[in-house]
This record gives sequence, structure tokens and C-alpha cells, in this order.
Amino acid sequence: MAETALDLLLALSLVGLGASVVFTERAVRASVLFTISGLVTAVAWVRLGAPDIALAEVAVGAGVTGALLLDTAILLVGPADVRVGRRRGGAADPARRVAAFLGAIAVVGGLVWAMWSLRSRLDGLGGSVDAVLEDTGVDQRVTAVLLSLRTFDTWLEMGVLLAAALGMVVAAGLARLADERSGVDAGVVEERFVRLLTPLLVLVGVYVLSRGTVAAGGAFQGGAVIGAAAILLWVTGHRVVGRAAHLPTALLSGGFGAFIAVAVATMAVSTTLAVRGTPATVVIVALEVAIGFAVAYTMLHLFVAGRASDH
Amino acid sequence: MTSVLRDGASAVLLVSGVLFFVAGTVGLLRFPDLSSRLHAVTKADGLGLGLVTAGLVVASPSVAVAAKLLLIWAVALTGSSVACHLVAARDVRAAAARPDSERRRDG
Repeated sequence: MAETALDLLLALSLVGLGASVVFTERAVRASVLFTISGLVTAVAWVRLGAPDIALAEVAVGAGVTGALLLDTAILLVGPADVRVGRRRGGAADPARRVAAFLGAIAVVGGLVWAMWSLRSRLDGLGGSVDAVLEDTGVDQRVTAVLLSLRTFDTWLEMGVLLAAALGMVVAAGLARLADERSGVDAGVVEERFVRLLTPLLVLVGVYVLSRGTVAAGGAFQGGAVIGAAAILLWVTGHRVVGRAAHLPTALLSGGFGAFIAVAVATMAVSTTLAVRGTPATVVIVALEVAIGFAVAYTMLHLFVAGRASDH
Repeated sequence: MTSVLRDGASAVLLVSGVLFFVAGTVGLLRFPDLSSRLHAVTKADGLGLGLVTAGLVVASPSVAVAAKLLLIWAVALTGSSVACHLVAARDVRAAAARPDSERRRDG
């Protein structure tokens, strides 16, 4: 009874938040509302029994994407959050927005109808995954699917991340990350806070990453948390990548390349591309570390490149 | 017996926490000024979160869970305080930069 009330409240809040994001005329307010709706969506994911997705939603969807949107909104309209004016025929046109909203409702209605007609088969593929779980080398279904059974898709996801990051870097003319400073003179409060928060965030990120093999967690979530720590450091004016490190932009391809390296190594050793049992656990952990680093590095580049385009 | 006491205490703490959250939200919606709205959101919500955390700690199954909850409360409190300070500082700077002829109410 209480759970149904909670679910109903969550569903109504999501619809309300979505509508408010679409219908608000202020860019900064819209990005803040977007972040809030990401948080509520994460709670909804937990209620649906998907803690991995909830973690990813909070870290990536609400956290980093929200920060990116807010940064872009302030760069576009200035800190006063003025109304984005109604351009003729533009997206701010109310008739178009109502039409888009109704179109979205139609799509959602179609999806709900599809789910309803499938309701006799909602068991999912959990049983099939459990049957091969031992071979995959990890104890958790989601990680097994992501990094063992459907490694190909995860590799291509890293490719998408790489394409996005490279596109931003090229478009912004970002020469080298080590030379970029945000130029902000951080006050005492935020400075101390960032110093307090950064080790905590790194700890949480590494913990979430390491837990991916046995419980909810994984590389994307952990990498996003560490990326958020790097962004926080950069936004308060710190030099995130020290001069001594000289991490080249080419390291963005670390995630994508790690999969290729694993595939080449596997082909050199055996005739198939399958890795089973204990070697699989080692490979998966290595891949998770590579993905985590690539995700964190990409997040930082997306943020820095967005500001660097002023040069 | 102790279980009933625990659940009762937890329920009382949770409900009072929610009441503080409601008060904070009402303040956020109804106060006229940015500064007073910051007061409402930061102080009332912080106390509400503390009471909710206390209610959950009372009902938590182990010390580890309770410790995690307290850590979450500490980080949330620090974060909201820093955010409040940043918003207020920016508002003070913006108000100082605005010429007196353009004085307007906070939006």
C-alpha cells in the first residue's frame, strides 16, 4: 500500500518535472530542473529493481550532464537567467512545444501498450544469464551481460564516448588539458569543501568500480564519480592534470583501445574470441579499470572543452 | 517490546523530519527574498534531513548501515551549506554590481 503510493508519487513527479523542463523559458532553471528530474528518475530505477542504472543515472545523468547543461546555459544566457525569448517558429513557440509534448506522450503510450502486450513474458532473461554466470567470471548479472556476454556493445559504447570527446576537443581547439585552467579564484569555503570532497569522491568512485563484479556498481558509475571529482577540481581553479603528468588527449581512446587490445590478445592465444572462467575475471577487472579511466577523462574533457572554445 | 519502541521512535523521527521538509518547501515558495529563501531551504531542510536520518538510524539493521547514513547526512549538510554560501555570495556580488537606478526585487 505504502509502496504503491510512493510509486504513484514518483510517476507523477516525473511527469510534472518533465513538463516543467520543457515549458520553462529560462535556460538555467531548465537545467536545474533537469538535474532534479534525473535524481527522481534514479529513485524510480531503484523502485524498479535496477540499482546499477540508478547509480549511472545519478552519476552521469543528473550529476555530470546536469553540470554540463548548467555551464552551457550560463555561458549562453549569462548569469542573470533571462528569459529565452520567443523566436518565430523556434523551439520556444508554445504550439510546437505542446505538439512535441503530445508526441512524447504518444510515444510513451505506444511503449506502455507494447509492454502490456508482453506482460506474460516479463520474466526477462535472468534465468538464461544465471545459467552461464559461472563461465563469465563475475558474480553479478549486469556486469556479466555488459562485460562478458555483450562485450561488443560496451566496446561500441566506448566508441561513442570517444567520438563525442574527440568532437568536442576538435571543435574547441583544445590543445592540451594540462594547459587549461578555469581561471576562477575560488573562495575559502569552496576551496576547503573541494579539498574535503575530492578524496571522498575518489574513494567512492573506486569502490563503486570495484564492486561491479559482485554487486551493483561498475565502471561507468565509478568513472563518472571520479570524473565529477576532476570537474569539481577544475571548476575551482585547480590544475587537474599536473605538468608532470602531461597526459595526452590521445589517452581518451584508452577505453576503446583496451577492448581492441583484449581482442587481439585473445586471438593470439586461442581460436575464438571467448574468455571463460578465472582469466575472464582478470580481463573484466582490467577492462573495468580502463573504462573507468576513459569515462572520467572524457567527462573532464567535455567540461573543459566547452569553456576552452572562448579562446 | 523493544521492536515496537524502536519502530515508534523511528516513525516519530521520520514524520517530524518530513514536517521540517514541508516547512522548508513552504518557505522556499512563499518567502519574498533570496536570502530568506536560502535560510528556509538550507536550515529547515538540513534539520529535516537530520531527523529523517535519525529515524532511519534507529531502524537500521546494523552499525555499518547506520554509519553510512550518518556519513550521508554529514556530506549532504556540508554540501548544502557550501551551496547556500555560494548562491548568497553571488547574489551579494550581483547586487553590488547593479547600479542603484536598476534596483529590482529578487526574481
